[in-house]
Amino acid sequence: MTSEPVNPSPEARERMDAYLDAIERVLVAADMPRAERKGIADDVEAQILEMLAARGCATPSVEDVETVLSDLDPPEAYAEGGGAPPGAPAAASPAAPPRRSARPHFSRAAIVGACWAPVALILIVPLLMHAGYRAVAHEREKALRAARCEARNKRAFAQAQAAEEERTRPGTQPGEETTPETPRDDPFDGTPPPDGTVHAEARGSSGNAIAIWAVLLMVPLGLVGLSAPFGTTILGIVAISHIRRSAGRIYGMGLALFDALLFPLIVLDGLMVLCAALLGTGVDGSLVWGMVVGLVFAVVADVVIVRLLWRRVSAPAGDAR
Amino acid sequence: MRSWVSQLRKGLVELCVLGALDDGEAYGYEILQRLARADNLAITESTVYPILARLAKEGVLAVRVSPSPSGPPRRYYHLTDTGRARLGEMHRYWRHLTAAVDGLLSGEKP
Repeated sequence: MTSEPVNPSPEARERMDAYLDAIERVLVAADMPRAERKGIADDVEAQILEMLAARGCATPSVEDVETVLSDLDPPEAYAEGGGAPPGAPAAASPAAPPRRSARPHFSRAAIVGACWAPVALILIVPLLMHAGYRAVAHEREKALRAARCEARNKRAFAQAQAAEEERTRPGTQPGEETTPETPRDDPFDGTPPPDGTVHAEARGSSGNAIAIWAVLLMVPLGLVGLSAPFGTTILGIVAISHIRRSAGRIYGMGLALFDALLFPLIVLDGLMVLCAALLGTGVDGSLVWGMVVGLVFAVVADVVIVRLLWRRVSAPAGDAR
Repeated sequence: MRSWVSQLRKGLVELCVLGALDDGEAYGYEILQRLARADNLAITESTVYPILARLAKEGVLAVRVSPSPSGPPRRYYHLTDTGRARLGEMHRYWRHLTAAVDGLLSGEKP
């Protein structure tokens, strides 16, 4: 047996801890005192590390740990372990339960939730682009209208001036004066704009040049994307519950917690930054500094929340002792 | 048959664990390896470790924690005086039991 020190990778350590936590939960359910549970957990952990060392793994990976764990009893087997106290009748269950044939697997709910989350981003980007396009088109239209009005006003003023000059010119008879053109506010009377460009869009279309196919594509994508915040969060919570109850058969608590907290924390961060920005604007008129302060507070809050919840979900279920 | 074998093994686990420690102190995995040398025992860690914990709690075994080269400290178990007494008692009963069963099966009186 090798005496090389074993230093598992973080992922391998997490997998080991999940297995040990599952054993802990089984022993807690069996009302075993903590001192005995700790002794058993220490013995199991020492055995796992020694088996890894025997394989020559100085830095075992998750796969190495999985291989070793596949040779060990499942956590549920510890519910029947311990033997009968002296004088007590023997239990009906076998002393050596069969090895599990199904290997532990990553939480599928956590994976689906993590894949669903980016769809919300895919939806938001086109929506923002479309809103930006409409805003730009609207501003352009306003500028065109203003330019046409100004041009028409100038033309009318020039005509009025010319009429006045003609009227005041010696020899002009009454009634021969020309009526200056009244400036109109309607830019869509067919008069070309002063710069010669032609405003080809019809009145009221407001820059809505998105093809029909793009609209039809955005409807189902929009439904999926709009539901992503809810779906990802719910799947994360479901995955956390599955992992805690799986007794080591399902792992991936980190991703599950990420799914469960992603969108709630985004909303919380957004509210904190907005409030801080409004406060900053109100106090000394500095919007940017308000947003920076809000961002700092949001990051701190995120770290605290994530650490608290990680400790909570990583603790063995029912460990109230 | 399998159920009977399992029940028989279950009843013998404590005797086997104490017998494995009669050779000297050992940590958990080492005890499993000593038991594995005996054919047909097939006693696994989920059975042995809880028994070790219970016997330690009852004072049958004592635990010594020692640093390990491969990771966390090892827990070395060894028989206490109470443990040696219990092992002797269980061993005597086992000899009587096996003699009686052998005699029954062979038709002879013990």
